[in-house]
Amino acid sequence: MSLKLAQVDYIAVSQRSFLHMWPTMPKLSGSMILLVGIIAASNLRQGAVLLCLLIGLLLSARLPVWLFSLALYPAFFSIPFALAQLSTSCAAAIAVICKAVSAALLLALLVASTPYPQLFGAMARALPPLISDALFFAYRLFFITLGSIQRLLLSLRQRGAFGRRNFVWSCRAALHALGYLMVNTLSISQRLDQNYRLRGYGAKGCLTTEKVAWRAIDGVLLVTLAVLVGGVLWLG
Amino acid sequence: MSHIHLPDGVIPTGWWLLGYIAAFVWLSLALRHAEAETTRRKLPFLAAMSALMLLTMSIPLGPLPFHLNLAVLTGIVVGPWLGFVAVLVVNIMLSFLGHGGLTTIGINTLITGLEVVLGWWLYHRLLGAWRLNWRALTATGLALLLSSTLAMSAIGLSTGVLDVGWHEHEGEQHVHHDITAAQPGDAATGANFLGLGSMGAVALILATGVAVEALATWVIISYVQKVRPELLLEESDL
Repeated sequence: MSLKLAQVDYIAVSQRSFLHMWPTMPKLSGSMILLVGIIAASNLRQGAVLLCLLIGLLLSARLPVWLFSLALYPAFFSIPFALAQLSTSCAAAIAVICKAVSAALLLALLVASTPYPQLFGAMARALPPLISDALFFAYRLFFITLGSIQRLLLSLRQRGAFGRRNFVWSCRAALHALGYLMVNTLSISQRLDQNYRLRGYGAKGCLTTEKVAWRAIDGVLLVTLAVLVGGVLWLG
Repeated sequence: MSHIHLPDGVIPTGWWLLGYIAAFVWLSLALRHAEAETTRRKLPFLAAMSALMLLTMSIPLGPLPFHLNLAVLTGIVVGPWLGFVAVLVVNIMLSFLGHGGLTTIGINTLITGLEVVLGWWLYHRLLGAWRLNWRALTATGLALLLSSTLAMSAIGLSTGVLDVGWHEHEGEQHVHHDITAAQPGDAATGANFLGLGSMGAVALILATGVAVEALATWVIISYVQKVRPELLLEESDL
């Protein structure tokens, strides 16, 4: 999961597609319309059409197909819930999985086409400063910590910490490494916070929430999407 | 360990809305406490623990069908209010990666948040006089047990599913053991795990998960106590 997050982050920043070009706020609104549609889908046909729509978006935006694998995790998680629906019908059971996959693919598309400062910046409009700052800091720290843990694990491996003969010692070493990582991450986080405070960010939060000028085309796209989703739900 | 990645579209709307409302109320209380400057100073701790929780959730534990989540440790270090915020932050990020849905953030946060609050209360309040090792073990074990039971009850009540699937990390792949009973009232005919019935398998996995997380929390706390003991004290004790 860690490496996937790093890869998704890279795609969001480096790639160019119509999804990447779409401003964050309208894109978030569009995602919400689709999510409402996915949740409201009551049968397999509706769910399948919405899933096809999302796969079409994934392919037409030329995003890597492995992004779909992110959507497969919830497919597994939803299996118990799908089994509970088997008493109703097989289609109802598949619809449950379809809805979970569609929702996850939607979110994968969103994060793979929106750099995280923009995404968190847009979310900061609705969230209290403490939460939006925590999101921003945690995201940055995640990547810093990821680098640290990879070096730590390499170091432990080179010292033979994961040899099969000393399982208890291996576990102890790995957990001590985690403890070290915790202490280290706390120190880095404190320094990061001090840096931001020195630069003038404080109680009002680190993320800027600039005003977004909505364009007519955004409105047209959102209305089209709403009509499309409504149509799928009504006709399906 | 009780973090169950409930996806979108599987929990009835009323239930996830209720989850959001309850989480919102709890969050409002947490933010009211966070207004104080002392709490604001803990933002780096909150963010660091959130990042660590995210990271440990992605570390595979060999053949074991679950992962660590360090929720109780987070509660012990940052306190019950900010610990709850940390859990929310982790759930928001996980939802973007398909680990839990956007609509189920409320329920997922409540379940793991309960672990944070219980763990903090047991460690700092109820068992405050105990030796550190026993405190860490007991607080983590009890908090996990209670929150896991609550999680399963909530899911069972809302969907009719008696058991939920656990997942394991093998490299970057998730492999799931279907330990579910297919339909309500049909638990006995569910799939077997290590020769046990569904409920036995659930109990075994639950007990193993609780033990692993409790031991891990204990070892980490022992290490932190040696190098930076002040991290384990409450703000009022400093």
